[in-house]
Amino acid sequence: MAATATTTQMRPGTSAGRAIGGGRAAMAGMRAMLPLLAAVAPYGLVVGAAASESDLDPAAGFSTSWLLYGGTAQLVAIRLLDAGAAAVVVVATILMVNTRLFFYGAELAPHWAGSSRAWRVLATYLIVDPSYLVAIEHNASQPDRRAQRHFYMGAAGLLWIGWLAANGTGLLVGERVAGLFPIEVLMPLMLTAMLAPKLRERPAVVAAATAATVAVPATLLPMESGLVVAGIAGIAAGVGSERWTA
Amino acid sequence: MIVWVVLVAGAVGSFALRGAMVALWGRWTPPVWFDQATRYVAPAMLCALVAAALAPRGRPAPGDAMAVVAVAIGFVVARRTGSFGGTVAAGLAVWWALQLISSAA
Repeated sequence: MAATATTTQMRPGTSAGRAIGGGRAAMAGMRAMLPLLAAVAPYGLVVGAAASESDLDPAAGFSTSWLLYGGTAQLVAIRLLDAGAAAVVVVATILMVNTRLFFYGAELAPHWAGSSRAWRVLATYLIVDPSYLVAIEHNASQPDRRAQRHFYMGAAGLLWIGWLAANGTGLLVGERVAGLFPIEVLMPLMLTAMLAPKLRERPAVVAAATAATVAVPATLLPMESGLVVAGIAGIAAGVGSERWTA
Repeated sequence: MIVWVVLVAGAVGSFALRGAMVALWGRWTPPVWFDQATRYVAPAMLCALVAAALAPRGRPAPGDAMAVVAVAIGFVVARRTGSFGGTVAAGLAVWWALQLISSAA
């Protein structure tokens, strides 16, 4: 990101980067987040529109935004709740979709050691794909932990505000865009857009293909519980394939 | 009411996922099998969601096939370009075209 390049020059032989104020680091974080915010804003609109299209109470639909804070998890929760899925199935699916956040947290954790507990709680809440991506890119070139944290909070804070605004706007104009952007087409399309470029290694392909194969007949199971069955079958197949090829 | 229980449980669980390693940093390292299994959660789960969304429910309708075609073309675009916006735009364009054709016929 061009905005960060000016603040990250390291002096050789020292562990600290160029000393910069916390405010400037936070501003640099916000500037780095802008292009990603532009990319996810339409997705945020659609998530909001999906909530307005569903039978969910608008307050609950909007609250997915700050409670779950992740587009795919929100979309899945809205869709499953609307379809009358069992509570356990919805929560299990949300957590499975959000498992990737565990790895983001693991990667960011060492950079946050030594900060206050309150700061870490807020920073943890704000972990999601764009904030993670911007942070790891910046951390690679900025060795000063304090500056890293200010940068992260600026970037992740701006994303939070932008995401909630996009969700809220989608909720308000939803009925007008719902006919043109039907969620039963948009949701699988967006998941495909996220997943397909990453399916490179054989075990991941095996996991995906198995899950899809099981998922179709499993739709006959009550309360969408087939999703969890298909997910577990896919994970088992992926692990099996990895052991087989290793 | 049950909706709020689900959302709060999802929020608490998601926070635990985000923060587990932040809280446990330096004190615990996950075992190998755990690391292996979690690598396939995303491909398996996302693909199951796509397949379940496209599967016909009850009586098959022509709309089902349109969604399948739109997503299949989206898949090809995603593999070729890796572009999120391009994939969604291509799939939607196909779906709109199929809608126009079917409403004209």
